[in-house]
Amino acid sequence: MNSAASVRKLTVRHRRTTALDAVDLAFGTGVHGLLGPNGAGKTSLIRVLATVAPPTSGRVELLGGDVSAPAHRTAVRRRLGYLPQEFGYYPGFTVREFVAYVAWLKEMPRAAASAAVEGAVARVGLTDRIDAKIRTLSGGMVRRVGIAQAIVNDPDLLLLDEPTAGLDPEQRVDFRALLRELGRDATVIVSTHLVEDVAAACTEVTLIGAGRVAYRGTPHALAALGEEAGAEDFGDNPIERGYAVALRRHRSGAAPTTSGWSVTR
Amino acid sequence: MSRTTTHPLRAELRRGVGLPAGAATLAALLFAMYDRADGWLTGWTDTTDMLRSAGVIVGAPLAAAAACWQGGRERRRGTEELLATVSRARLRRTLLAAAPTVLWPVVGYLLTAAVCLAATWQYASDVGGPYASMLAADATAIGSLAALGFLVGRLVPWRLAPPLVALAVFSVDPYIANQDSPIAWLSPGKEHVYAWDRPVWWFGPVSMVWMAGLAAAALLAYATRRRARALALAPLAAAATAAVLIVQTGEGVWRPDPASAALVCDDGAPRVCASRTHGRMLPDASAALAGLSAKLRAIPNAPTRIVESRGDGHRARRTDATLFGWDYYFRRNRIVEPEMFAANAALDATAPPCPGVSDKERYNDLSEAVAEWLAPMPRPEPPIGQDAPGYTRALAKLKAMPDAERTRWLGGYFAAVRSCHPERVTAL
Amino acid sequence: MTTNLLLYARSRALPVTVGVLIAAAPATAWFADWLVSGSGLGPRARQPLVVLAPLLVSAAIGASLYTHSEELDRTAVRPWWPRRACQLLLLTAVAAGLLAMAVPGESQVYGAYAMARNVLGSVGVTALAAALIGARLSWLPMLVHTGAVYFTARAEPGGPGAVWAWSVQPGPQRAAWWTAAALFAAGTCLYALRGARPEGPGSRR
Repeated sequence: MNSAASVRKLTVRHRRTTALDAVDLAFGTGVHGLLGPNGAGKTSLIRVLATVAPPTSGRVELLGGDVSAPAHRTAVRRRLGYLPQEFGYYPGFTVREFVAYVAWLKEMPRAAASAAVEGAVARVGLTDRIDAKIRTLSGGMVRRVGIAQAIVNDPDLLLLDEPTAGLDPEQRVDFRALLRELGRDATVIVSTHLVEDVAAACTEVTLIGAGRVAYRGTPHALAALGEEAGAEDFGDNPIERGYAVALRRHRSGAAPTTSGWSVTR
Repeated sequence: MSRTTTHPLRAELRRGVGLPAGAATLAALLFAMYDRADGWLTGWTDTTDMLRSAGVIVGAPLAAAAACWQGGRERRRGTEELLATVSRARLRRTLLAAAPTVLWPVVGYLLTAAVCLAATWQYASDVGGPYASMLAADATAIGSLAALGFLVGRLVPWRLAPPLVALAVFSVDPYIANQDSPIAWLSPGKEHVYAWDRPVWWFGPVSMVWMAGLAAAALLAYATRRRARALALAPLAAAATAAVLIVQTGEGVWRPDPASAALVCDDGAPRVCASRTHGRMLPDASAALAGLSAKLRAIPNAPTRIVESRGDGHRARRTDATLFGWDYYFRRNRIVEPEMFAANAALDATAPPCPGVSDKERYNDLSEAVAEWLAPMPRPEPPIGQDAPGYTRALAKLKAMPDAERTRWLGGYFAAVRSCHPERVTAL
Repeated sequence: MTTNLLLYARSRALPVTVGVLIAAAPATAWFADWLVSGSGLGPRARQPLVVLAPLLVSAAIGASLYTHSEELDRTAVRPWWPRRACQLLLLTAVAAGLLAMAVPGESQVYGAYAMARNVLGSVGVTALAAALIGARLSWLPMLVHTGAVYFTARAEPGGPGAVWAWSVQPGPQRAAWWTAAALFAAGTCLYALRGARPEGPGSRR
């Protein structure tokens, strides 16, 4: 399979807790939603894919190569976009300066950077504030600056950890459109708690529960799963119900066979 | 395309703590230099010396603390996570982030230097000039200490790290500068004394290598990958070589400049001579010494020149009376303590021009009485202690003598003393 | 109540701060001894110490004025000013007492008087800075001031210079004391009333 990002037997441990346990996953072009309860391992997966954290064990291949090789890791980083869960920025910089700074950090050619910065800022709808200092922006705008810096280099692999936190409903609708657009050429992996985002923007859903893959499929299939299960007491829409059902099945199904790896937190 | 996106260095330099840090350095330095203006508005060497001290004592701690604060920025702003995923080499990123707090304080220092040198222009003599290489060495030292402070900030996640870095610079540099060994010359702010000295030509460049080498080695060790880390040894070796060169030369890094040390004299009798460095003090010096000169002129065997001395007992001629440390009596080439100036010249005139002549009490009393008659020493109010009876008697006799007799006696006095035989002085 | 106070103390990093204050005293005493015995200057040699030790402890006290939760703090039921004033006064008293004991003898010449005065003045400047520019950078103005007057350390005692160069005066000069006391009073009042300046979003730690 020609996937931009794939992990095999990926295990991540933080001290004594296991965040990811021998996970096999592959992501191709398109928008992938990462769902799962807090602490399930979504952020750990994204951090490994972003080359921030090395895996405890397992193999991570990004954009056609193993990232444990420094040369390839650098090449990957040039083509990577990343919005961390806690997005840090320099409040004294203007939007333009900050996004240009990230473009420089990603070694974009200077000639192309200028237009790319303006393009990225336009895509998140901040053109009218491009020369405003970030400190003067609202929380939702700062989040959009975070998205702009992630897409400034037109990444082949885009990792967004809870990008919609702090966006208002209208901005989220725009953002989903942007995701769909980006997903046409790139591999976009979005971690989120908002299942509507997944339903509206993602081509595929990966549900992570307690360090393992609980479910993989299209949002449509996940919704269908919710419908199948019928009148369960969770969720206001099919996909939320699907989420609950898949997670519940994963827990109950996993419990007898994998009692040895139950995660304590 | 509307505006071109320029290099991120521009943003780094304009935003954040760098510019305020440079402004604070500039303000503190200008204040410190203004406060001690009387100490350096005399000549190029004095200005250079004072700028160097101020740069290290006032500028460097500030710069290092600001840089240390800047070094902790990624931690405070939470950008470490994002920075861990970028392709740009760590060394380039480190240099860029360190740039504002390294460059702006240096700019602040150089601006201060420019202002002070411009101010010196109207007071300094026509020989010598600003020692640009020494100022560049000091600017390098400030930048290097700032770079080291930045690295401390990167590595030490403590809110007290910046003030502690400042404290360290405050104390370590004077500690090194006050060492009673050639090691003291490794301190970039080490003061030296003589106004007519100039640094040997390599002292500035080698000092630069010494401080910049340390900073570069630390930067490379921090910001390169394991295999490239050996590169840090190169600047370290350069710094060590520079240090050895400086320590071995010791005091010789400053040498008398013959052009500045040469004497310029007025055409009075006796002649009053200053080093060319202090040539602009000469008119006031002549005026202050006019009374003394008039008396000496009439006395046979009296000194024929009153000369600024180099302070190491050196005198060109036996017939010179010497006077050391003119800076003390002058402010901006105007004399401020003329009586003291004349009295000290008289004291040297009445002393034997040779070291190691025994100080007999009778001779001392006489010598001081003669000096007092020639140019009275200003008395502190209230007077300290009591004059020796021998001195009081001698002075009274000297004042009471008829002019011709006194001149004859003084001629004998000077003949004996100036030939280093004070015991031949006849009693009054 | 004791638990609450302990929690408050921990929220302001007071254990570390008090640790710094306590550690500063013997270090100062050792350096004072070393300076006096090592130079020919006698008690005058303590001057750098009398200037720099208060700078350090005031920086530590200033750092402890930082709150991680100032939005939350403002919603508190109890008024904050007594706690803030108490914190500042107690820490200052501890610092001044400990450091004054660290430079025994010759109290007129860069001894206990000057040390206590400089602790008061430095803490005053630092508290003012915390209220005006934020606690994390509160050490900066005192550092700038120290840098500027440290160089003029040879200034004569007394005279108009004692007003602004208060921290390098040898001891009993009245103008220096007045300046330091006024700075301390102003800093304590402003900080107690207003608290440390909030340091904006995104400025964690």
